Amino acid sequence: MAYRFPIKNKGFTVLEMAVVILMISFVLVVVSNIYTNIIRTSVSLDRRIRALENVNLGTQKAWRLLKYSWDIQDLGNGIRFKDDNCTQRTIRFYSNNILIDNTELFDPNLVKVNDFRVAIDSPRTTEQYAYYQYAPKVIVLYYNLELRERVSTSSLIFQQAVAPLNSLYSVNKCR
Amino acid sequence: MSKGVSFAEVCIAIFIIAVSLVVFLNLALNYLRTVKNANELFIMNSLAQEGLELAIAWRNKNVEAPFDSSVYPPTINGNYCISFSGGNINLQPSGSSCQVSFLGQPPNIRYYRILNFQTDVNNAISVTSSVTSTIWKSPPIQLNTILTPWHTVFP
Repeated sequence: MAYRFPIKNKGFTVLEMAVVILMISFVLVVVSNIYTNIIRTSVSLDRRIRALENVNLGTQKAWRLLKYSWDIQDLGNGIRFKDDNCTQRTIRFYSNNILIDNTELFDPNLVKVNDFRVAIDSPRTTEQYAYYQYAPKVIVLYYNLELRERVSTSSLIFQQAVAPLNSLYSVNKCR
Repeated sequence: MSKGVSFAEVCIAIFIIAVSLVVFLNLALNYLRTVKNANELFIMNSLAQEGLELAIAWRNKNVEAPFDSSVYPPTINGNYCISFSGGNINLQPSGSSCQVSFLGQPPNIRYYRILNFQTDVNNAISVTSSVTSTIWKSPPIQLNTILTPWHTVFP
């Protein structure tokens, strides 16, 4: 008598396979969607952080220049002054950026400037014998910026004030 | 021999997937929150620094007087609100923080600032500038400086 191997039902039916493939593809679609969104957000936020660092660096540079400035003149959308070496310098709003002389303050790929304004205080006396009597004691800079992310932008609006150190000198060394 | 997957095994698998997804999402949300905070921190730091610069300028303004006037270094103690408008620095005593208004600020966020002045026996003024906002849940941002008695400089 021939030996008969026991038949075991080891395979899956087409229906079972179809259900499993459907479930796996559903999970894959959901997970990959979430993953893509996370990566997209992360790249976008990375750019925002880089833009914010660029703004921080730029505004610190402007602050340092103005802190040691002489002979300050308000231009409305900019400011003209002499630096600590008595060299004439200008900070002004031009073509969606801020220029220090002719150099862009912010990276145009990361930051777009919508508006930039300057205000200085008025002296209390009309006397102009000493530099400290008429030198501006505070410069207020108003920034209206857009941080460029990957697809969208986010706005950053703030004010910065600088009290020039030289405003207490009696003699204007740059005149 | 049963080759199928039991209900318990399916539950465990789903649980593991769910946990990993939650962790993943949490990480992304935390990152988003950190960046949002960085934006907010930047603005609040600028406003706190602006408060200190205005305080320095307020001290320096006292030298702007005709030559024959006698000018004394200011003595000041307590909480004050400081602002700049119309070319003037305005300093007002206040019991609570004052709203800081600047052009183009988002209407849904309000920033508040107060400056604390303490003059010591040597006439040095310690100034602390505190800033908070309606969406800031942590303690206020505080910056501090010391204003020495002003003096004009004769080179």
